[in-house]
Amino acid sequence: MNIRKATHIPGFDELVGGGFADGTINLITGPPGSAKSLFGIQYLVNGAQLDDEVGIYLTLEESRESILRAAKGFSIDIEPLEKEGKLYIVDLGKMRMECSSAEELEWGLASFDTLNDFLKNHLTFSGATRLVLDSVTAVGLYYKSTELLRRELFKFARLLKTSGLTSIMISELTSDGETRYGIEEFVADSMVKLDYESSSGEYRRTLTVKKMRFTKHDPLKHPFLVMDTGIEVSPDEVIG
Amino acid sequence: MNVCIHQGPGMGADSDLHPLVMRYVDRLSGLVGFLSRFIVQKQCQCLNCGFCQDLNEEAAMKLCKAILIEAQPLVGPLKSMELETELMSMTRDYFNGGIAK
Repeated sequence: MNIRKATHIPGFDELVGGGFADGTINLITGPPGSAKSLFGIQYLVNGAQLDDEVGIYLTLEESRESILRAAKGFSIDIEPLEKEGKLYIVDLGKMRMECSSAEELEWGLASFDTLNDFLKNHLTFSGATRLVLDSVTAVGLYYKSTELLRRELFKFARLLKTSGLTSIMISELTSDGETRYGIEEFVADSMVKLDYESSSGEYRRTLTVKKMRFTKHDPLKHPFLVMDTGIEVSPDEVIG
Repeated sequence: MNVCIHQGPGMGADSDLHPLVMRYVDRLSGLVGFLSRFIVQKQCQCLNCGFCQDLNEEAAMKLCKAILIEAQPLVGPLKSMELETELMSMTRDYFNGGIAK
């Protein structure tokens, strides 16, 4: 049986057979401002509110306050969920800010080993089944070579897949439209690209499911809107 | 053998505070793993050595609270309340001779 984790993001689950396959790693990519973090927040908040599932939002760059403020802008109140133990906004970025670059390297605060160790322990009390890592791009900066990053990323991915988590990894796209390290998509089971484009003076946001293992998915480019309550995809409308 | 997490003078492995600090590290480690050493060491380094030499329960409680402030963003408010009770109780027990030093 192929169990799925619904995102409950209007229009999105229809494109991917009902949601992300259980225990998979799903890459959400896009340029800055393409609503990647919002996608991650909705995935966790909807999971907590509608499916009673615990989620962890692991942020390495954006502050906790910034995430809470961004969510409030879409009428999403995270704090009550935190108090219930349904959602954890884990701000590792704060720790990184409070130490020098040398200390950060010495302690490996943004390394996959640290994240791996942290998650193993956290899961014993949180019981989380959903994870958002924001962002894999930030973790990659810790590694001096792409080869080392690839090895560590594969190890980390294996842990995620065996820990009962259905994960989202957020990754930035370069101006050439490629993932930052060119390896993220090989580790992930799926890749969803969020973008925006201008056509005949009209500016619109787009979503494309580039890859999705274990799933008969819709690979076409669809428009989406960022509404008062978050992302809404138009599954029946296709661009280009 | 325990390796002291604080390298500064006045709080080495033979300091009075060391066994208690190691208990904080151990407890926190079960929640956040390796990061517990980072959190506790950071707070110990913030304290001056006069404090370490003049160790008392009130000062240890202050250290406890500083650790909790750092730990809360990682473990969330729910677990943080539980952790606060545990660390405070651990500290009181330590000073009342409840834990072997």
